[in-house]
Amino acid sequence: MADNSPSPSGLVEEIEATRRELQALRARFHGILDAAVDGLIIIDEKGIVEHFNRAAERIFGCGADEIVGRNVSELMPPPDRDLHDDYINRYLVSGEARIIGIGREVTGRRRDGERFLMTLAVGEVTVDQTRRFVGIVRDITDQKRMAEALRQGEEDLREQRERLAHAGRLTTMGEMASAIAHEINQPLTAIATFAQAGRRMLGGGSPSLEELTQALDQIGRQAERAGEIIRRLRAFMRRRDGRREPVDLNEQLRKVIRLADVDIRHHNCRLIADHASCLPVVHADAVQIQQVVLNLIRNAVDAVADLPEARRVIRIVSRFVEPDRVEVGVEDHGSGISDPSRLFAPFFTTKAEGVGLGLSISSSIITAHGGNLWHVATAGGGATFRFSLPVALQVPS
Amino acid sequence: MTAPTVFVVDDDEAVRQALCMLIRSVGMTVEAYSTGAEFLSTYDNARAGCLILDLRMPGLSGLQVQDQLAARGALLPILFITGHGDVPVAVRALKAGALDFIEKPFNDQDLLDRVHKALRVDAARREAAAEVAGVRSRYERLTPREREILEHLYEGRSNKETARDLELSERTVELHRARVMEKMGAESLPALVRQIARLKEP
Repeated sequence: MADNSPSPSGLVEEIEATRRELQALRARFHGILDAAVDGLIIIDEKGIVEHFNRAAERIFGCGADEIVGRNVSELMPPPDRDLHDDYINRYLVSGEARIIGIGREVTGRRRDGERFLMTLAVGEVTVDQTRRFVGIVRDITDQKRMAEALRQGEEDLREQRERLAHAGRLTTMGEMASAIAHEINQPLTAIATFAQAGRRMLGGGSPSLEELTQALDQIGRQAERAGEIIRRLRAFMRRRDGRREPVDLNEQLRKVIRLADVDIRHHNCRLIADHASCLPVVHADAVQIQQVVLNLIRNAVDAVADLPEARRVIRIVSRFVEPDRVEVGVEDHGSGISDPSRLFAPFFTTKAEGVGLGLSISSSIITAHGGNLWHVATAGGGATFRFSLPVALQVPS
Repeated sequence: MTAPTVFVVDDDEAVRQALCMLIRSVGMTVEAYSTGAEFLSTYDNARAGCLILDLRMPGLSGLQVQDQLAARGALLPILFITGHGDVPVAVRALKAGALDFIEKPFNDQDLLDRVHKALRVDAARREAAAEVAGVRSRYERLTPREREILEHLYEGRSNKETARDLELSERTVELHRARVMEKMGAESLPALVRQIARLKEP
């Protein structure tokens, strides 16, 4: 009878072959795990690390030999570190997945203690009734940093844009007056020149009636054009009237100082802001108040621009004057005002290129707010302009 | 020679028309343009006159028009008209060679006086330029040898020195010299030196 059972030596060979096959399989398995770009960590039901691939070693700065056989919670900062065993137990008992199959951003802890942001996706594998968890880890520190830089950049851009838009609206009265002067100057020039040309034609030998008529028509039209500019200006002023909202003067001062900063630095001036720690709210048109303050600062810069650098200091003071007023002062140490009597009169100017409307309009804005704008000499020389505004009545809420 | 033209460049139609009427009222020829580009594309350097140029214009500014005219070697004197507060820019224009500036709104007599002055300056510039051009064309008719002789004359050397330098006989130098004087149309040595001096001006 033939014996069909394998010979002992054949069995040994077969076992040996299976062992080699298994070894090759395991090597291939580890090879695949190690080739992964993301960190791969395999743990058992107790949280003990069974496998830790190359990428995981790189991410955590920790060799596989240092962590395999130990609790995976060592790779976490508190509180996760102390709670991780509970997380696993809760899942094993309730089957309620918090992270498994979901993935989220968590904080990891490198071997040297450094914390970092990572994305963690966890999958579950059951082989022979033994559950294992596979964690896939990606370090997103750089990604986060770039996103943050991008967000900051966008934020800066937005702020810059807002500031620009604001500066556009906030031309000072001086600039506005200058623009208006230019606008009105055009028709005035045309009127004067048409009139003079007409007079000359009449004085000459053979005046052309046609040209004279044309000159007179133009004079009329240009006078209307000048009138239209003034009408538009009036409408613009009216539109700006009567807007009142609760305003924190300190906040407005800070905004204006930011706007005036370029101008101030351009002239190598130093600005000292001496704001009251806490000011009651006033009811005002914030943009108009900013215009007044900007105008006062520009005046102060002009006043000190030609002085030695040590004297190019401008101080902006705000304070609460009991019981019901808030006061703002802009002080310079320039050469001061020799004749203060005409300071607030329209078209009075000491500047070569000034129109002489800045202080006059500022004063009327403050008056319209129920306040006052006045000038005093700065102690030790120079000019100080102060304005006060009434504190808003408290409305019971 | 044709009469000089007053060119006006101003973007404001009313101001432009008024200026034209005023200038015509005293019998001068005027041409008006609403932009610097339009004027530059039309104007020919050979045309005599002066330019009344608005400083503030959309598109090419007055200063840019001035730059471009200078770049193409135009002689036309420029009178800038400026608005309030343009003085610093006007000063820059003057430094760049503008003849004058006048602030809006202007007095007619004042403006016309400046226009007359600008036309005189233009005539003088053109005369000087024509003179230099004449000297240059006469100079270009000289032979290389004659130019050598001329150079020696200009440097004040005697016939004897020149003859030695160029290894010629004194008699030959004298003959060349007479021909140089004749070709250059100079009646005397000082007149010849003056001509050449103008040619050598930058």
